Amino acid sequence: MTTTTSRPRASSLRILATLAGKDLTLLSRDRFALFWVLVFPLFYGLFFGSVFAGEPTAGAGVAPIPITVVDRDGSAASRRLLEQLARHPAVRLVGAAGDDAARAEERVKKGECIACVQVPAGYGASPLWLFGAVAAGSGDSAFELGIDPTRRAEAGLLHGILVQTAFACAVEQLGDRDTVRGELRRLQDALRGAKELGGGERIALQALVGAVDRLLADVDDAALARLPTLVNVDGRLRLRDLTRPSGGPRSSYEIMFPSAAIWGLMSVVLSFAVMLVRERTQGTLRRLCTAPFGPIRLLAGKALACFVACLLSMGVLMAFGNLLLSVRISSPWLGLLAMACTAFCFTGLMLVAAVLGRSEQAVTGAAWGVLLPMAMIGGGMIPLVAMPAWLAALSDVSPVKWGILALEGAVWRGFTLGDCALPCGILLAVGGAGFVVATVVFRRGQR
Amino acid sequence: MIEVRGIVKSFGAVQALAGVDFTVHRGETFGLLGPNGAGKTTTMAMLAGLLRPDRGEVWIDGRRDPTSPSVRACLGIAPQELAIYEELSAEENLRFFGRLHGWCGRALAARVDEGLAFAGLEARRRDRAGTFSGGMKRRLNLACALVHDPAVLLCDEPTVGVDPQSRQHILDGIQRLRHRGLTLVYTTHHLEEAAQLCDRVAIVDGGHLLALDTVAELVRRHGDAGAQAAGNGAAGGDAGLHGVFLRLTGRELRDP
Repeated sequence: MTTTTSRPRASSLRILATLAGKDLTLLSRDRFALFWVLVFPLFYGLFFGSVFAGEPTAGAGVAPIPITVVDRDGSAASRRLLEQLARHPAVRLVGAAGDDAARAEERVKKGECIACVQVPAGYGASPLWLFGAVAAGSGDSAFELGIDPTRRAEAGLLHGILVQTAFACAVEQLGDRDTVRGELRRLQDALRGAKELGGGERIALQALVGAVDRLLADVDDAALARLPTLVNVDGRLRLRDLTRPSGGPRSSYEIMFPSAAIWGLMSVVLSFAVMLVRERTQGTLRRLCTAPFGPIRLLAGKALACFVACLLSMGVLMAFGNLLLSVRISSPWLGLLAMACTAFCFTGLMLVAAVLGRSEQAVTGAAWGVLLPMAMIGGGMIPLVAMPAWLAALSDVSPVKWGILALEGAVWRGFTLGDCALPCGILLAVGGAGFVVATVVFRRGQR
Repeated sequence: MIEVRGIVKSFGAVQALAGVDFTVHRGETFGLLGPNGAGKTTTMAMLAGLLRPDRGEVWIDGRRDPTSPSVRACLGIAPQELAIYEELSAEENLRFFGRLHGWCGRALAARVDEGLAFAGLEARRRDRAGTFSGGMKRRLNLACALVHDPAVLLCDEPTVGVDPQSRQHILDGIQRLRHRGLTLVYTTHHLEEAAQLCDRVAIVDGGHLLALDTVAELVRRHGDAGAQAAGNGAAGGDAGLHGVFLRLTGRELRDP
């Protein structure tokens, strides 16, 4: 080869770009590494997102409560009650209408539904049954609510739904002039035979019932038809959602994709750490160390490649989730900030892993030995939102937790820039510390 | 061009170099010979700035610090290991190492073409180095050391484990570099290579410099005893150097 006298010099930026470009090219030609960096996180997000897809999440609406019913009364009123119950948006009727009590209870025990509602015999005998009026022969009857003990929390809800529906049906029946006048006549008879009442009380009550009867006889049909609307309990209660503006995670994919991104980053860390050790064992590191730049720029070049690969891994995952699974990035700028800080943190961890090990096996073992526990306690395996309190407290020591939190902040937690400051600050601090430690160890190893 | 003054280096309890001095003149091809564990590779690592001596100094081109960028810019190193990226093509390997030294554009393309020609790999320029034979990789290893046009080339056993054709190709290339005035420091176990290529040779063992001179002068000085040591009665050339080597370093095995 010919020799020249003029000797070019590369700028720092050019050196970093050249080193990073080489490492990214090497990564792109390693199919296994590419799988772990780009494809595996997608599998992870899709798999666990699908597994938890059936679970209700905040803001995603409440699934109706499955119940079964037994009609012991068999009257027009009880059938009407069950019709109204079936229309209620918070319940879903399971099983045939003609199920007997034993069959209905078996459904609850088998987990087909969580409760069994039994309408008692005598329910339809009087429209005033709900208010304590007991028709002859109906006995001391009551609705019976058999509940799966593991779902006791929903018993109160079901109780309210049942009372609401029965009340609506009773009011509806009070709009039927003939039925109510029949009830009033029966009440007059009862008053006449009530020995516990004094003479004055009996006369006053009989006068009151008689007045109501005359009122019902005289009132026009239109006024009676408006009665149910005048007793509109629902209208006196307004429900209002008080969730955050972003509305919480809309799907399980929004919870699982930040965790999946962390698995991609761990794969990047491992790939690049092993790459540096391979350079040492192959001898290329020896050649790089005799190039006209110092060890800091050499490590910075490695770090730049790792940083870009981290961004690429997260970017591909989030783009996939956004386009195909409606995973939101509520704030693109905060999303970029979160991804950059997380990538910086994992780049620092990669450098430490790379300089501490002397063989591929040592680096792989050490990296997994550190990263897996971090993922276990940091939300890489159990989503942060599903952690028990003690694990949530323990997770503070894991950079994985802060990475996931920063990403979730940009996806569904609705973080502001101020909210991001803590997780991003911790991530930057960990990454910076990793770079310093790696540089010191690497320089020491060169002596 | 290169001045080594009393370098001492220990690795724990093992003393690799125990005060070695020598000078390599500009344009000279300098052979560094010795059995396994003699201290050749340690010396080369110090010349390349990869190791710091515990004591002593290494001066290259009038500068004391071999790690300074200006010294490193004029150093080329062909390590004993195949320091190439097997996942990159021959062309990509050369381009990468050229860029690291600041070459770009047409000048870099010309250097890469020259490197491929030097290694005899023009026809395989786009093939990944991982698909190459041992000889091809060894040639590419040497070309990568030269792509940035160094003034000093450190060759650590550049012909180890290659077939005769590749070996001859490498030796021919080094001869051409000699004639162009490149300063070469060359370590090898093939003494005939040293006899053929080197202006002067240094024989080291146990971290000590045992002899330093031209091959002819070494053979003359240690000739008779060397020939007897070699057991073939030869008095000159590589056979003579072989005898001198065995006389100075002994016949016992050097298993670590």
